[in-house]
Amino acid sequence: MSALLEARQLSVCHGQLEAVRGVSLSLSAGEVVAVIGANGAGKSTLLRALAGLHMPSAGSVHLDGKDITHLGPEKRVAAGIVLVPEGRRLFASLNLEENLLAGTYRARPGAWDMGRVFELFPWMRERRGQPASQLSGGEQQAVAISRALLANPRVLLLDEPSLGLSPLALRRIYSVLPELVSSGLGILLVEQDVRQALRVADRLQCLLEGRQTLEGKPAELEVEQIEAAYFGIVQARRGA
Amino acid sequence: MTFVNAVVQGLLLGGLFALFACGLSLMFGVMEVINLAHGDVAVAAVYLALSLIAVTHIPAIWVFVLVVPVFVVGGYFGQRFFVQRSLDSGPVTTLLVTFGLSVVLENVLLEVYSANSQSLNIGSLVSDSVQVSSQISLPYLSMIFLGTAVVALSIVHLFLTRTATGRMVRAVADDREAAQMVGADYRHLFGVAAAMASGTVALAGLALGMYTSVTPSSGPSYLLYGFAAVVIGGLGSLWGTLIGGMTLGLATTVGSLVDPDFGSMLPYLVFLAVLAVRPRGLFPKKALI
Repeated sequence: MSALLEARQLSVCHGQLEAVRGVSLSLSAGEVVAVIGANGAGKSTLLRALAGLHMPSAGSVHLDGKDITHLGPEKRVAAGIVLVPEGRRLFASLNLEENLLAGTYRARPGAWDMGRVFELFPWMRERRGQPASQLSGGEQQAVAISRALLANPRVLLLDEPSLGLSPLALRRIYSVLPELVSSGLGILLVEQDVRQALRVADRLQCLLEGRQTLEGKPAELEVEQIEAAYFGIVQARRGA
Repeated sequence: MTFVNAVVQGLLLGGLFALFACGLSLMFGVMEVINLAHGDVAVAAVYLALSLIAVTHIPAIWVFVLVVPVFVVGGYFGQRFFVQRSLDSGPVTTLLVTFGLSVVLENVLLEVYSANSQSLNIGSLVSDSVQVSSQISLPYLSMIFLGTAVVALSIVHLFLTRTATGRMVRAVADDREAAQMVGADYRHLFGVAAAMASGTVALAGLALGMYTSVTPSSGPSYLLYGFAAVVIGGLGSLWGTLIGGMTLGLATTVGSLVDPDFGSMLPYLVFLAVLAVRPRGLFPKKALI
């Protein structure tokens, strides 16, 4: 199966710091790949680079085998790569509906429209006039995801969707993932909550200090293996 | 009763101030550019109008039909080619570039049109008025200005709230990067905002050219008034700017009741008072509209 989105030996620098170091990954249509790792492992930077918000210092990004390494972020949206950023980043002075409509600004043709979003999250219909800043964290996350879906992406990049959410809100957000995947969307998920990531991911990739330390299917990985890759305690454990 | 008259005149005049200042507010609200050439753009509109009238013999009151589109288009490309390039190299650069633009505009106008003061001749309309009561008279021109300001600001408002592009202009003002994440080319949207700013200030410039006379170097003094209106209203807030403009208009006419000189001083006293009490303006809302 050929990959929908592929990163080859991608490195990204923040000034002096090399936040992502030679990471490769691939994502197919209808697949969920989770990138896990501790704080500062370079997960968000990797996602932002795939969305075109950081230019890589080395390596390349491909969509359908086509090199898009130097494509700007707004052009990547048109090509079908949409990021749901960390912290939601809704437009604070726009109301809920206007935030959703912003998602349609450069939308590709596809199945997602306002009606379908209101079907998925019925509460949005009544509260569409409310300023985005008055919504709860979970509601904002739902709006952020809907805003991204309205662009009819082929690849959805989800950056820490669970951050700051109550367990209930978290479950609600994650409950929509299967439906999205079944429609052929490829989802790249960055998550600090490893248990959550293991539950939904088809494949798992672990980053440690910008480097890839583990890759595999959740079912085939031992907990110790993941722990070691996550915390980088391989040597310590062997020494003990 | 003269006081009531002064208030009415002040409100009429305030619309013009607001129209003049709203472009400053837009530029700052959307892309955090303080356009030091704003006043000169208004003056340039007057001179362009003079040339167009000489060629086409269009009545001066209708010349905006030709001038405003030129400035809308000019604003877009001016942003894309000058302001955006300076924005890309840091926020201080935009101050230098717009200051440079101001100097260049003034000198080009001086070279082409000489330093004589000129105005747009609208015949008797400049002094005609409706006598409402023995004390209150409403000059046609002021009413036209207020009407124009309300219509122009309403168009800007409708554009920003009802169209997809306008909505994205507000979105980009909120969070430029998040706007990119939904596929917006922020440079294009900055250009759109600059087009609106340039179009409205050109309209205000034409009104000034009918109301009074201008010279190539009058731009900066108008810019000061614009700044005062914008700061009183709250930087970057469009409706705040309208209130700011009204406040300035009122201060001018009410101050003139006491003494004509006080009429030009009171607006700045109000400006200082607002700065002292509410340094972020009367409506420090972090939103464009």
